Amino acid sequence: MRSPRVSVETKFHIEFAWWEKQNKDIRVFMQELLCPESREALSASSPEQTVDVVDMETAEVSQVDPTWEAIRACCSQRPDYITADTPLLDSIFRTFLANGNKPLSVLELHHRLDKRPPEVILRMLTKGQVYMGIKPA
Amino acid sequence: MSFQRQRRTQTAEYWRDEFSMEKEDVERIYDWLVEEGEPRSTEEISQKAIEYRCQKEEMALSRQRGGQIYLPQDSYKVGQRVVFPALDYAIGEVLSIRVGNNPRYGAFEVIQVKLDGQEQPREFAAKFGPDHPLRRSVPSLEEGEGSLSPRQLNAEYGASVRERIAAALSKNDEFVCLGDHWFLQGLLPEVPPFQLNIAEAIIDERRQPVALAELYEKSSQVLDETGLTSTGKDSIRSYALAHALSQDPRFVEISSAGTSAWYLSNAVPEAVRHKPPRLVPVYMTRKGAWLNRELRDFAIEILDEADELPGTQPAALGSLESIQVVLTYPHRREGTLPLSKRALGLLAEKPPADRFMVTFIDQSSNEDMQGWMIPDQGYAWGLGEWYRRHELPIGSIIEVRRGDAPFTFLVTCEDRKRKSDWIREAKVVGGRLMFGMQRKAYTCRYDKHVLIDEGNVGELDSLWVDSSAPSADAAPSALRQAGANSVEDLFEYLTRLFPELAKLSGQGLVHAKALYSALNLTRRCGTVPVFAELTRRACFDPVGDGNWVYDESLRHVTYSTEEEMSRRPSSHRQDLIVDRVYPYGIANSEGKSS
Repeated sequence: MRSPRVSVETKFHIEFAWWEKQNKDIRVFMQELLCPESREALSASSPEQTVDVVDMETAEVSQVDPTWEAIRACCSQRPDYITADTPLLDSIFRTFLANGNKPLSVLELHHRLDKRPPEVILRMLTKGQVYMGIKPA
Repeated sequence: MSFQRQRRTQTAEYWRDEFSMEKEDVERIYDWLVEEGEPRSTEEISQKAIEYRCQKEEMALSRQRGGQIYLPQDSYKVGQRVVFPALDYAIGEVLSIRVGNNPRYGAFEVIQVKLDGQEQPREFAAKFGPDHPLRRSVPSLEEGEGSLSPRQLNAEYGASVRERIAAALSKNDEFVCLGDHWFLQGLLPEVPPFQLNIAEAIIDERRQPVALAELYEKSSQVLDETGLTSTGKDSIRSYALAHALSQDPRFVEISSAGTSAWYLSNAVPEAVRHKPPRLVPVYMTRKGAWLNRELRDFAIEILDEADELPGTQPAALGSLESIQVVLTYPHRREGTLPLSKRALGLLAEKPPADRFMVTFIDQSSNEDMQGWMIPDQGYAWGLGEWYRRHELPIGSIIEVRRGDAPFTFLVTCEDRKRKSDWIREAKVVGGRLMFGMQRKAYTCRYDKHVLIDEGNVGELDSLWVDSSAPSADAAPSALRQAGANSVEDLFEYLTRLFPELAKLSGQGLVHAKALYSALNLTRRCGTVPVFAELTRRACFDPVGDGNWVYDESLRHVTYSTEEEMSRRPSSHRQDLIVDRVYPYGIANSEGKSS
């Protein structure tokens, strides 16, 4: 079956199966994004433990990695989480971590990040290798 | 356990924030249009969509009697039935309860629920302390009393619903839209190419836009006569004809205000279809801008259409026999004639469309010239060749007189013996606008203060700035991207332009009208923004007869009160003229609306 044509309206997200397939641990990447306070708070917790996160629209609960939860709830709120100097693809990855990996279109990413034109973002996400597991949802 | 709740469809948040066109909504609209069999307006469709959503909620409510509405702050018991409004009123049963784990939220519970029709149980927060949108979106209210009907909901919240409907349907190939009316592509009767050819011939013969109703009636008559009659309701066949016309590049819709009229694309000049950018003001005229008395009188005399304030009413039909206009560079260059709201009193008949054809008659030769009037946009088009033939300079005074036939106007520039005079000539030197004097002779009547010879038009174009240019304080990248001249502050520009004009006078005098005319060589602007700067800036002083002088040392002083603008306390001039000032567009004690 032919995959649907991607456009600036196609939604993307972080595909966790890609991380497994690549034999990479996303948590290692997430650790680097922790702010000092969250890093300290998490040092005491067990790496296997998960936390409950409540969806802000439906109140549905999902169990997520505490590092991710800390990024979403704390570190991503800091002004230095995404700056003008953060490379575009890193910014997109960080955006998905911050929003709980809710799929976003290139247009939506463009509006949030205001870094490059939507066509450029689309080209970077679709031409060449997959970066950080960011794929069409 | 009993509960009270408000229907979600009764809340502003639902229609403003939550509502989006789902596949199901589109299908409902599709079915409805099939049933109706006629095009329907976005307003009518939004009414249907709202009715549908209200019915859907009613059905869900009737199903969920006996269940508890889910709210994250409430507590639940195993085995309890729960309704989830945020999940499209899904109903489920609580299977288990556990302690929630996230220090950020404090203590809370997690209920595991098996939703009807779903295999996998899902988890939801309970006894949840922190603020959550679901707490706010489900206030309590007994159903029934005080509820708004779908019609009332449409009146109250329909605007955002209509926007979303139009956006969704316009992306769907099964729907077609004309004006504000939607129909189904599959239900459109076929319009034979022959009918379009007939339409083309009718318009071509008429040499005027033809109303859709007439075009439909006449082309259908021809089809009937040739035995090509198609069946179906007239309203649908007329809609199909309009749709076919809109898809055929030979035709263009000319009018919009309630009446659809069609014309031939290749017969409509570009300057009629779209207002030439050169006529769009870069600096806007503001109501209440202060003008001194003399400048106010000049503004009234010139009556630049760019100075008209929003809401200005056109003069009554037939209230004027003739008007005189002073030709500025933008209009001369575009071959257009300024049409102020007052000038519309020249029209004896109600305009047939937003844009309509008129006949100008050269009074000196009796020659007809085909033109267009676009009253809403403040101009008429079609005099370019006439301007050239009569060598009309900037500042020419043109008289337009109503002709005997409808939409016919006599134009004259009052030919007289060629008379030589010293006049201003514009030139571009080193990318800057400068002026010199030279002897020139014209046969037309002109306003000597507005009169300027534009010199090399190509060079002037290199300095032209229109309203689409970025402002001078825009980001450098925007300026580079625009690749054009930027719009600098009007005052800054005037302080560069004024000294250039002042060099032409031994006493450094510049007439206010000359400044306005010179500014319009490179930027479209009404008189008021220019005259308002003269009035409020201390570096400009009036010295009589419409002349002004410039004092660089006062460049940073601005008068802010009526008294200051009138008395000009910072002035160093002995010959200063003290004049009253008036707010533009506001009636004053003299009964004049300045």
